[in-house]
Amino acid sequence: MYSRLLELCGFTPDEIKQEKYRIEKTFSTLKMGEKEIIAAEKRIESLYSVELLSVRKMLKIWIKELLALVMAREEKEKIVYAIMPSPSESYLAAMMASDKLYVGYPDYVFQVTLGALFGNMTPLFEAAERSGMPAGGGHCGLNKTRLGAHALGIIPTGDLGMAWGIVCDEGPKTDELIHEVFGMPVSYISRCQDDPLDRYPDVSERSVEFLVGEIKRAYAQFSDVTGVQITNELVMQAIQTIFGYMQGFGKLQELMRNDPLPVSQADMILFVMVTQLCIRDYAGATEAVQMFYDDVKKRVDREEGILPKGAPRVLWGNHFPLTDPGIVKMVEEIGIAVPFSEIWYVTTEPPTEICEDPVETIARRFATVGLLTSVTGRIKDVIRLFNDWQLDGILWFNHIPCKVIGTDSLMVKKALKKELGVPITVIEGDIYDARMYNRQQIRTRVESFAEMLATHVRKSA
Amino acid sequence: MEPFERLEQALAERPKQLQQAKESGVKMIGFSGLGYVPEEIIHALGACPIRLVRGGDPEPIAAAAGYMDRVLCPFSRAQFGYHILEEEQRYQMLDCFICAITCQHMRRVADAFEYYTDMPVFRFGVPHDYSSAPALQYYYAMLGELSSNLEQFLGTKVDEAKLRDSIILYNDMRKLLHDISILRKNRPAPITGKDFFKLMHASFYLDPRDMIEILEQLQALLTAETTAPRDEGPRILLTGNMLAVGDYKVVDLIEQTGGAIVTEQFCGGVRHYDENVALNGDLIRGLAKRYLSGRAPGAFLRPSKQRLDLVARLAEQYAVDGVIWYQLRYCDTYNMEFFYFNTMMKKAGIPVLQLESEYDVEERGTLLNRIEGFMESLEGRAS
Repeated sequence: MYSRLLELCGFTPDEIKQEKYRIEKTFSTLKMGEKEIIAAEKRIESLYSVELLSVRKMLKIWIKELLALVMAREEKEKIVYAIMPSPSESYLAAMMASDKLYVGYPDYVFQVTLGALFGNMTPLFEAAERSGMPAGGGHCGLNKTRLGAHALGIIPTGDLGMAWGIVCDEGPKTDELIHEVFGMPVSYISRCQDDPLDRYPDVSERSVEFLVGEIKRAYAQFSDVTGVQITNELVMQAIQTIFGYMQGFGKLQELMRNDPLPVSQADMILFVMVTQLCIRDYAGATEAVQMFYDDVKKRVDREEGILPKGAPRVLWGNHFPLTDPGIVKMVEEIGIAVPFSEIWYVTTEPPTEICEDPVETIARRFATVGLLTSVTGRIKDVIRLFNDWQLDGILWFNHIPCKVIGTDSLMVKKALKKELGVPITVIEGDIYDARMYNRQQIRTRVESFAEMLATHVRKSA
Repeated sequence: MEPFERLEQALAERPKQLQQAKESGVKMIGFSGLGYVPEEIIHALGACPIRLVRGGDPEPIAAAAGYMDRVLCPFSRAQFGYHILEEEQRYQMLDCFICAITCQHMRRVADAFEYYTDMPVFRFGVPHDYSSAPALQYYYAMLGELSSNLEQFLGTKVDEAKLRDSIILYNDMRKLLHDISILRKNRPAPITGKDFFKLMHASFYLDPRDMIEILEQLQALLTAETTAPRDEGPRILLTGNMLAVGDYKVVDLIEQTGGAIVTEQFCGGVRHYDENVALNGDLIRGLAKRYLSGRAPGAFLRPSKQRLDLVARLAEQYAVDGVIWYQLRYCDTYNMEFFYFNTMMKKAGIPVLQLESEYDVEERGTLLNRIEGFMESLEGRAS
């Protein structure tokens, strides 16, 4: 029943046979029956370049993440969950320290697999809405994913939740809710945001020191629960591993400067998501990203693209809708090239400062990401990227439930209009929950925006 | 003159008093309304602390609509809205604004003032793990920075004796509010919920010395009054995130439908009167302890179950018949917390009603229907 789906996702018949128990247990837990599997096959074929082995390899890495998550209680001694935004290096370091641990970001794994690949997130969201995050409350789909997974019992309750509240309030509150209702112990990590806007990209030393202390305290709590030490050496090793992948991804990202745009962001999302969390198979991912780079490079060399040469190019503010890559594909179909999204670009840039203490490197990196810490910093970054990439306009997909990145759109738009004088459109939605916007409405808005872009490009010429 | 007449008179005279003070050179220091900025420090420096805690009106929400995103809580949007409406003296006369960053909503208030206006803004970090030693140390250091920034801004020094006097003044005011509040354990409560909120709200605005006189007079009066026990309507504990000055819609509806608000627990908009500042040792440390870890934590701090346990204890101590949870739209942390608070209350056998507001006049009908239904159910339980 599931063989074709898994073959589309790069599994060989032998691998499917070998993983039979885990696959069936996982699909049964997720209530993935024949209907859901057929729907997933169709979706994957329509969204991704499955003719490329590199893409199939990356799809397999994601499916394996799903199996590892759902099977965690059966296969591992301790389970630790992390939330975004947080430094994934810490968790990769923990995984490197012991193979008896499951460490991961359950919400992101579901977003990519159950959401983007299978298009089957609604049961999780509805479960979350019955369990403390009611519809209409302005709650984030990512946090709903984590709560909904607990409420449906499709993931085991963790032995520890590491609730990073360094910018977001709702993320740690979700873990507190999970603690109160499902009993998961939680370690909270905080940071104070008291720098004036114009201090960016500098940050107060007191704030960095406080965050370093918070991270170290959380590491200690992690060790108490798991018996595993997150040492500086391991963190450094993890930084290097992730950096290795990031370098490969960075090369790939640079190819998106080419006109015509060589590849759809739907495919790119699969690769960029690895930079946002920690996975079990970095060697496989690094190989896949290199292979994908080679595939895309061939297209560039042949001057092939998904859009005609000269199509207007825009900066995508915030994220692409993660569970719904069809939205960015739709924008591309309308004739607008999207070389990157703001958040993925700025969060995949290498750290500006490498400190002797790797925890300090992590803390500084987080404290100096403009979009998380300073609206004027965010504006500066967007202007820098816009000019560097020589773009024509801005499509700002405002992730409205997020109080961190979705509540400054009016300030940002005013500033960008003034500084850049280019067409900007703001579209509201939830990048993690496709129920929160209407596809046809977005199409209409984007079509109007495309007309504006065309006029603007003509005028500029 | 009766204490409430005195209160009304003092409130009426206050704008002129403030204007005269400003004209004579006294600086007006605005600070955010969730109560994490110790006004004692501002007072001790000879400036006038102005707590920005107005809310409940739809007009400032509309005014802020072009500047602040709509999924911010209405209180946060209103703070900037009142400023740009130019209809509220206390939002217009400020020389600077100190904003405690308690949550992302308040962070955006600081952003709005800093980005759109020329007013000096001082951001004040509130560590969310309020009970840890490093958090207290951070907050303590922030108070030091606040003091030195204000010293620089005002051109004067924090004098220990003056700071002690200011702390004593505010301690006295809190003690009086506490003493009046506990009289509400009696049946019937000698003061209505609305009147008690008015007292707390006036205490943010009036000169603390004037306020203390009024409170002393009221306390004496209420203590001397001997009212025979009689039936009163359902006794209500009103709780939530913010009960802003002027946001009396729900309070009025509860009282109009026969309820008696006998106690309350809010994170903002009320004066926290159960804890005072220690006068022994380092006064700034005493302020840090009282303001950060001495009070029940708001839902934006973590973990905040301690506050819910306090609400449950208050419900018992004040023998309430029901709890009304009043939250503001888009306040994500309070909305989520309600889920397990409701479970706690169900276990304790105390009925709970959850209400939400976006400061819209159109909400009244819905709120009235729900409150009426709740009161009827409480009366039904009693009979």
